[in-house]
Amino acid sequence: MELGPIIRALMHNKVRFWLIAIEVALTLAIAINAGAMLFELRDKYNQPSGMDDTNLLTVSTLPFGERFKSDSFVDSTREEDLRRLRAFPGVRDATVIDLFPLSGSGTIYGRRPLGAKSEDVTTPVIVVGRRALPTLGVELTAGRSFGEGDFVDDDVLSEQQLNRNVLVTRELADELFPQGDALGQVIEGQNEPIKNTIVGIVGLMQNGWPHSAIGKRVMLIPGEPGDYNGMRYLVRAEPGSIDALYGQLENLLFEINPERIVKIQTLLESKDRVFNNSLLMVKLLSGIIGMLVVVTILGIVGLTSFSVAERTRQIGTRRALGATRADILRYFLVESWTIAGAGLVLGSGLAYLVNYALAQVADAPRLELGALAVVGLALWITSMLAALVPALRAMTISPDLATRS
Amino acid sequence: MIKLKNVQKIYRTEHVETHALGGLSLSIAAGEFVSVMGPSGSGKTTLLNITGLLDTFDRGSYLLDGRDVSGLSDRQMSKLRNAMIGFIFQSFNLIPDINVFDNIDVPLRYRGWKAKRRREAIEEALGLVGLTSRIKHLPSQLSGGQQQRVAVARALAGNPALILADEPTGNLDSAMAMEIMDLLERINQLGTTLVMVTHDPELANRAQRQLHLLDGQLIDMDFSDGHKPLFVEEEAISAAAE
Repeated sequence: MELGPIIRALMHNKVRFWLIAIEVALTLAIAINAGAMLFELRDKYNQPSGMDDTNLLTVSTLPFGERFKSDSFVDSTREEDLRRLRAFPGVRDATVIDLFPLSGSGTIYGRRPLGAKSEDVTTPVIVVGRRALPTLGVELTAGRSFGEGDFVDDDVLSEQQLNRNVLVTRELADELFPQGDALGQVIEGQNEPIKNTIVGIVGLMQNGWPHSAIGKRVMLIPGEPGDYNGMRYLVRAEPGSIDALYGQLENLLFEINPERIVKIQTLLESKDRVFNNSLLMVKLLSGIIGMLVVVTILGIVGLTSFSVAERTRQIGTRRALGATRADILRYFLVESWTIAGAGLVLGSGLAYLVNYALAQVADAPRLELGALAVVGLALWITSMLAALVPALRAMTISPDLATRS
Repeated sequence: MIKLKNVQKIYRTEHVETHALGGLSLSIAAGEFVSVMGPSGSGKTTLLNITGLLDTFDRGSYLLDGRDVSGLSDRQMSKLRNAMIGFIFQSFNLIPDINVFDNIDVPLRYRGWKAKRRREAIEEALGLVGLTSRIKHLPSQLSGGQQQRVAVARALAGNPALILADEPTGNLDSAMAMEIMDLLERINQLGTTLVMVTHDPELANRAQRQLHLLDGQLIDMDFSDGHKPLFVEEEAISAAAE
């Protein structure tokens, strides 16, 4: 192995060496970080939501009839909608909801244990009607579900309204009460009159931002959301019925009251829309990674080709001095590996720096050493393959070239 | 050492066939110092390439140190070349990116010697050419004469049985040329067979035997009456003109 002389020779061609080494380093740093983000996104997309999401339909209604300006008409329509939805063949359950989970939107409160001096915990909130848990399909792991007494009239400012009972997910419970004793505790918001008592804990449920770091924090508040600006229902289908219900429910709601726009989606379609921007970013990042790799390959092919063309006589001399064709091939491959290797070492450090910066601005996942090794190895092999064609050409140079003037 | 019998070499292009060597026969004994002269295009370099296993031939036979080289694979030729032959080129052919030590090390690495043995051989060869102090220098930091001395050290470091020198003084001034010739003579006196291609009759005269090539054939020449062959005069005139 001529590693020593190769390195010493490269040190006399610093520009050529660093040009490719930096290119490889940048490719590694960008590819590994972009790749980590892609994988994290994929993992987040594939994470269980805790709900029966494959059987859930989101139903949004936007009234335009004047009658909907009356709160009592809204209430009666909601009641009728829910009664008919729950009774419809193929529907397992239904509830009213203010904002759909996995939809990319939601409401956030700040909550902390009553009397605590700590900062508020970011608390995503979803207001749900009766039969919310059986509709969502989430599992209650401690305490109780909402009872009739938990639903209070929003229009009347009562003590009960100011101290509303809530359910929280395990993740939010642990964030608020790391000792694990959240059940029965009261939480409050800074400078807010409203307090909440945790009456039950839900094992797992994703909120409106499943791709975010707080995607599994939910506080469910009992209520009867909906007004002239719209009402939303969540409908849980019997297994295998969701496709049929898709069209039928629209007709049902028009039958009850046609003075509204009805939009029906599956929860998973809603989820896909949330991830759409991220998926677009995935495609963009994949394209950038692909282009970077292509540019790096072209760089290595170009450098090695130039190197071979420039050193034709030198190769002839080496052959004359006893190098076999395999020795020449090995020389150029080792040279290319050395440059790529230096680039990968540099790129590994750079990858961690980029990762640190991305973590600060974009909540990027931490780099895993194993992933770095795999991507590094892939780049190293790619660089070898890129150098192979010009190196094979070098192999064919005849030794008698040494004596040609 | 070298036994060529009826060796033919033809270069072919699409339309032209050039007979570079036409049935050439030649014997050079071990330890001999032979110079090869001839006008441009007479086949000197082709002869050197074939004897140095840098090129193959179309007909005839070639025994190198008793071994028939026809039919050897490229790899076998490389190994044999590395083991038996040292080369000195007109343009020195040092590798510009590596220092003197690494340049002399090139053929020794292909021989598979251990580092310690290579270092000893390199230091000994550099001592012989008087350049031990320049071991870390790059070729570009040396004069032409010094570069050719490094090339001589590279040729003899592996202790080859045969050294082939192609116009070894062609790019040097006369003082440097004499220095290199002295060196080559000393190497020959140590027992190494030396074949030198040259245009310079004065340098050729320092060989024990002179071969003259014309149109790919060896020609007999008797210069005892003081006459010189026509092509030598032509070369001398053109050299003076340059």
